[in-house]
Amino acid sequence: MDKKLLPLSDVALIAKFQQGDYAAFEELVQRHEKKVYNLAYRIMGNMEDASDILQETFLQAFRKLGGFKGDSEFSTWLYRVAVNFCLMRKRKEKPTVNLEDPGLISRKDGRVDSGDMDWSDSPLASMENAELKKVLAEAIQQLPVEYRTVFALKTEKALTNEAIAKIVKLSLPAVKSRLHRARLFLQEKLTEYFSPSPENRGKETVKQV
Amino acid sequence: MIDEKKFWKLLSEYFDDDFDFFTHSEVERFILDDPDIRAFFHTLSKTVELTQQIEPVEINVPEQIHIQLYQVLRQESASPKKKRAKKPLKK
Repeated sequence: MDKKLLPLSDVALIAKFQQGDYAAFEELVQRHEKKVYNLAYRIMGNMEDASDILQETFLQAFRKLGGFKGDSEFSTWLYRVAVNFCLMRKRKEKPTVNLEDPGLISRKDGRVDSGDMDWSDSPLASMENAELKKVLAEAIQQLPVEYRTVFALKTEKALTNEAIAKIVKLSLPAVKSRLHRARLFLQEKLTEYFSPSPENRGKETVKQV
Repeated sequence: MIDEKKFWKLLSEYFDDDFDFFTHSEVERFILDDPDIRAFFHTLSKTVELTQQIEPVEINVPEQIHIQLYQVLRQESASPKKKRAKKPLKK
């Protein structure tokens, strides 16, 4: 690691790399590889794919950074490359899910099941509850990849909807819609967890509350 | 006063805090009137709250993957293709 490069901004490192300084590129990799790896892991759901995406992303960055004009932050640009690779890989794995499929979220916008349980005040509706944490983590992995991508960028990277729109190349309303539907999907899964049906583990615990 | 149609339209905006205090209050007033909508709204609010509490677990890049990445990039930097790519940048 070249210590002279440490205080430099990403923009300055990119400029150095564009002038042929390879060490500057390695410093950029050093700074961003963990973030890219974690984002890929959230979207792909396994370390093997995340490792491939990491490599593909930085190879692409290496090849294309010469033309980087700094219109967006380097991290945003890098996330966009990584997200593209993730979505391409997921689409190759299986046919794309129709995001408008009514079966995806059974309770769609504009309709509420009567008699819905309000579990929001349950003491078990807390991240202290390891079982609920697990249910939520599993539900996130069940999200269609297009929703999971937007959701991961929002919750894990704490990005604004505008920044997410740039990364996933969607309009702002489309990002909001995916985020909303992701939330509805997770709400439905948590409602199932708290539901009083015999097969659901939340039954007894909620009744005890 | 907002109606049901508008409520569903505003719901996603509500959780992104994308509108003014007045509209915010209108949404909250609307849900008081219907117990089913109230339950739905409360559980959705709770879901959003829970997801906001998810602590991002940062996984370190495995050492082997890190080494492999640097090897691949060094190979790429040494390849003639890279020299061609950098050529137009020289002035």
